[in-house]
Amino acid sequence: MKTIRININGEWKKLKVNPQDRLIDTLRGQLGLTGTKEGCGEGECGACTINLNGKAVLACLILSVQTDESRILTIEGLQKGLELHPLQTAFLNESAVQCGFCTPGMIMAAHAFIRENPEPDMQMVKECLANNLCRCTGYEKPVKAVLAAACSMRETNHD
Amino acid sequence: MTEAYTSVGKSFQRIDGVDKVTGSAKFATDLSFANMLHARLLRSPHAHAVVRHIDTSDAEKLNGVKAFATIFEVPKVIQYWFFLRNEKKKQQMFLCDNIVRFIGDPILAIAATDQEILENALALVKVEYEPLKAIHDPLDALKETGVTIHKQGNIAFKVKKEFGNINAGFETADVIVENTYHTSKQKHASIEPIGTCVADFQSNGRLTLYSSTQLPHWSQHYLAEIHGLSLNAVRVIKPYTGGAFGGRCGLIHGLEAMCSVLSRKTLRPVKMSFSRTEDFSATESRHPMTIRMKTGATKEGILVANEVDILSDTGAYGTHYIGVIADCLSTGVGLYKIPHYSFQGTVVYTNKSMSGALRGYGNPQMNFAQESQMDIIAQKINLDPMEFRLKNYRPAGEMDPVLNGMILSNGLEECLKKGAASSGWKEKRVRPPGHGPLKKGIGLSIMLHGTGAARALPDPGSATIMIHSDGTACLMTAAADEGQGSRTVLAQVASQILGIDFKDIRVSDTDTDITPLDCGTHGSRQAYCGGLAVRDAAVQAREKILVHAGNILKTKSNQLRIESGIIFDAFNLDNKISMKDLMQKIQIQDMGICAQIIGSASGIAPAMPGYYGAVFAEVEVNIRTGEVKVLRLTSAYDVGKAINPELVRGQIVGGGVMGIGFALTEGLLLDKGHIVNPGFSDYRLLRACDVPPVIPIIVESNEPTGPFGAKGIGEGAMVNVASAVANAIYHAVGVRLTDLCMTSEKILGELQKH
Amino acid sequence: MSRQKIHAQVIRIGNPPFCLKSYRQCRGCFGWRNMIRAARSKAAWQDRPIKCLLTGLTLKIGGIPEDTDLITGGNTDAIQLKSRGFHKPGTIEETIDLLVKYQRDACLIAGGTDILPRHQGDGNRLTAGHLIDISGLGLDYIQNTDAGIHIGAATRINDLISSPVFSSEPYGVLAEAARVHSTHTIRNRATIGGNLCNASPCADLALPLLALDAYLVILGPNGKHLIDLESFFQGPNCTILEPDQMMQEILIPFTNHLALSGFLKLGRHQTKIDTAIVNVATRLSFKENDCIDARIVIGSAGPMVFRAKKAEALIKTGILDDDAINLAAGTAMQEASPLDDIRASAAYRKEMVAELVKESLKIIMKRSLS
Repeated sequence: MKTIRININGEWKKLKVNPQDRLIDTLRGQLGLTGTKEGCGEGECGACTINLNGKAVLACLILSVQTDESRILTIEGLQKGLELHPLQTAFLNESAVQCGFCTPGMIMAAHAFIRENPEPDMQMVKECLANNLCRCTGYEKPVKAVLAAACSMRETNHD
Repeated sequence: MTEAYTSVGKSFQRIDGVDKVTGSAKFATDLSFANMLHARLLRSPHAHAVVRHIDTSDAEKLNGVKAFATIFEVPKVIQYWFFLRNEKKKQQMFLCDNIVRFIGDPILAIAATDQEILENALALVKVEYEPLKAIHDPLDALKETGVTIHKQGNIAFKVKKEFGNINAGFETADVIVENTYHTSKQKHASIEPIGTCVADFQSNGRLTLYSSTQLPHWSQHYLAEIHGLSLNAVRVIKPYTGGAFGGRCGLIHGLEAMCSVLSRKTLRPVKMSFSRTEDFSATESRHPMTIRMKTGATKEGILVANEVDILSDTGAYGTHYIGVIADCLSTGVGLYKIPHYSFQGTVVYTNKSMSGALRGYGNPQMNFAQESQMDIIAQKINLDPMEFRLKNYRPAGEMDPVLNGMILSNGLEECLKKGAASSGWKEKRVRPPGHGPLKKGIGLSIMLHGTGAARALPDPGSATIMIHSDGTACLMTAAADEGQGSRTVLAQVASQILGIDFKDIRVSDTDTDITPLDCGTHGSRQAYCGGLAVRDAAVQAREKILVHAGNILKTKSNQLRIESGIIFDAFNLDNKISMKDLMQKIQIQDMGICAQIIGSASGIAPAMPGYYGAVFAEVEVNIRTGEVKVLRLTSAYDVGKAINPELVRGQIVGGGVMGIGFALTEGLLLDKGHIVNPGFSDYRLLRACDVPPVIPIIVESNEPTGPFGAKGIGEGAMVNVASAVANAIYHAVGVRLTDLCMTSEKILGELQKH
Repeated sequence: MSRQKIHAQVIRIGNPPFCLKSYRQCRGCFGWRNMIRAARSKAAWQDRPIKCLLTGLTLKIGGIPEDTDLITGGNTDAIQLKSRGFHKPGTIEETIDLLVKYQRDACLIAGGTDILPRHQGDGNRLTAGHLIDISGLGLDYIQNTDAGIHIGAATRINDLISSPVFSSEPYGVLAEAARVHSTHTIRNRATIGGNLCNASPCADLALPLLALDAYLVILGPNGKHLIDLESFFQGPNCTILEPDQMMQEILIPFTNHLALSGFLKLGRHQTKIDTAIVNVATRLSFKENDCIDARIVIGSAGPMVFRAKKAEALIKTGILDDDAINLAAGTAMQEASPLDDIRASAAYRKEMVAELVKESLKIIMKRSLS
């Protein structure tokens, strides 16, 4: 067992992890943050996308021990009380959610992306979501939702 | 008459949206219970073998290993639907033997305290096999090879139907076209892998199962049978489900049955979760088919005869094999007025992972063949493919010879006309394909799909509505929502009838202890069958409300109306009471009444109405590499009435993209029974950066038997995409692809033959 | 001869590597069955070691009798899971010490986007030996010196795209390949060194680097040395690296002449990002209007990414016109020895080699004229 210290959704925590534990195991198991989903375990589906030090990464392709002293943001950390994040609101408004299994991953991919690219166009958003497989929506509405969220975040100076 | 609806026809936000965007929605894979064990399956490495002996003695010694369940003791549930009605046949659904029939067929399940122990335990189990010769090619299943997959033989089912006189029909034909088509073993590929459940067999002798199933009540029936329990001792709860598309239409092979036996042995909750590899290699898929079709028409463009011969490969076990081939028949015959139609279908067993239900059932296969044929004929007699379809499709007012009912609504003509206008069909059809290596083309195809399965199966729907004392309501329904949004749509139906705001209607979780018998989600049925049940339950609750309101307002209840939670006298608008005040009064304040308002309804859908659609696909083909790019899909569907238009559009666009996958990139590949692409890196789904614009067009033909005129949509949106793409490729470069999926290599091969 | 330890013996007694046992392919791998078949029938494959990334086993087919059944077999004891450990050294010296200590049991990890999926058993548990994380060694840089462009082995692929260094000819070809290497999310973690050390015959980044005559700086217990990228690749998934060696950086020398380059990749249709069916990188150097040097690099069509040298020779000694291009494309096709796998057949791949080389050269020709 190794001890790591991570900032998870704004709170620093010390955790004991096995060297072979993937970040997704620690998040879903030890921390009970089941909003991050596992759809394939090999980085193809993107349901486990989270933000690591501000970048969108796949929690199934990172070992927990590799995240020592890192800042991690998961879907559970986006909402402030009952107030939804603009991305979450946009996914609702644009009907971008169907079964919802890929939704947290899509939102987290978009979250990191919009911070780096506050004014994305449709092609950029399609590339941002390229690692998030969705079998229900055909992607059209999620892409629109990310564009709408970026727009509303610019207007309200939301970070 | 146009009615101004307050809830129906409105694109409300889905009721489970907040749960899903915040990550708080709990899927089966997210469930965890105190004292819970984990289970995994040991699967067969042989395509066909007798299991002589299973030695678990070394595995038993491992600390943390708690129980074993083997195929010697746990029956496989191998047939669905048709067999539930009949006691004798019902017994045949539960096969218990020591034969493994495909690579990945479960042999035993182990329950242990954690995953690592499980893995070590699985490695220690010794299984003695006697390998048998296997059948990999469905054609071999028809021959005398000495290999028998099931006792009754390798032919699972045969059907032959003839309408009119096929030979006489062909004699009147001026043009006859005959081709053979092949379709692939498509996978559901829902993003939550198929195959997660938690079984909790408690010391009181009751079993609770948490499972992402499409058919909670039928799962309850199957499990009761397996365990010899009464139905009230088996409770099935369906948490949120990460997509289904038919993949959860019944018990999952090896999952719930084995998991619940482990739980019974340990009296602890046991969770089993398939990996993506297991999902791809050992759960059901689309039936691959070989379809020979001979079609005849007159030179004026009137279809006269169609002869169909299908060989369908159901794999190692047959779950949906009868329904799937029957669907080929009903959708093929129902779509066109063809006086002479001969249909022959043979379903065979092979030593492959089993086939089952997948969005569209047998229709995408049948449609690919039949709509390709129609295109070829139209071209031979030099008729615009759209005109040809308009001449021959079976409009409202005609009898459907298979379903034996009159078609009451059919918006196909409007679908074709609106789709043609939006896609630029006329101009693009005559546009030259282009000079360079990139050639453009446009193709279309049409489809029919039945809503529900009332003509074939026990297909009940039911609902209960309970009004709370503050005027809000709870709708209890087992209409399993897999993500399509049926709970939202059903709440809209209830809201419309009760006059209660949509936001004030809560829809219960699906739990067989509280929600009445429902046939579950399949066959695009929930807006229609579920909608009818909810409509009737709401009408009943409304009548009860109005009786009380009439007493209080001292007026006849039949002149009362409800809008936005206010009950008022239509002839005296000031004579009113809010739903909240009324409910408060009759439920709590007035001790003399203390009435509960509960509306409940159930029943079989009165019909199995067809819904129709037209897809226009525009493609670009690179003649040097064979690459195809779908540039745009225009998909127009007649859904009767869109209760929630945005949700309908979501189905159309999502189905369109799944259809492009079926056409171009998807299909499990097998090598002697091994699935060689059991993951997303080599089973290629389209990604956000790959998809073209899909333009959804909603046509409303107002189905008289449907709730507010609604019928289905879910499956249809993918049914005729592959045929439209194939027809577009032909238009672009003049080659006809008859083999799915249409890879660039196959297209280049065809181009080089020319 | 290669210093790879060959494990043919293990296979011969009937122990299939995991990837064969579970019948799946590692990302970018052609699959063992296909490679073994090729090694028995195609000259280009015969003397090449083949490595299974899943198990670390390396196998040379040359010399194993044809009738030996390499595939079936029951017990897998020889491939028992190793002990598990994770190390995050702070210096290169510490890293080399760990490599020396653990040898074959050691596995370097940076982005992890190839290693982690590879070590997924069916139960999704990580089953690696000693993982040594090199992300704390400061190997994440892109620098220009007189010698050329230095890229640290642990540089993320997205950083190649955003770096101004790769925005101009002929070096932009690396960013071009990087853009289609994988998705944005994967590229946030995946590193250039990982892509090369994986030594997949499809490795997208290897192609432009070969076209740019890149060198590698290799570190080991005996110090540092420079090797050219071409001799780094030994066979499918095999490199020249000893178990106690590691890659420190990639060095791209500056070119003295006007040079133009390009990268083309064919995936499954309708897909923007996919493992290549065939990929091609080209670079032509010009003096005035004459083409004086050519690189034609082909991926996914042989045991490793390779330069089609006969085709290169045809281009650099003549005038660049349609005839020369067609001849070179046909020659490149002859130099390719692809095999059948689940993405495409060998025959199709061969045709596509010619097609992509032709297309790539034509694009450069057009640009050279303008």
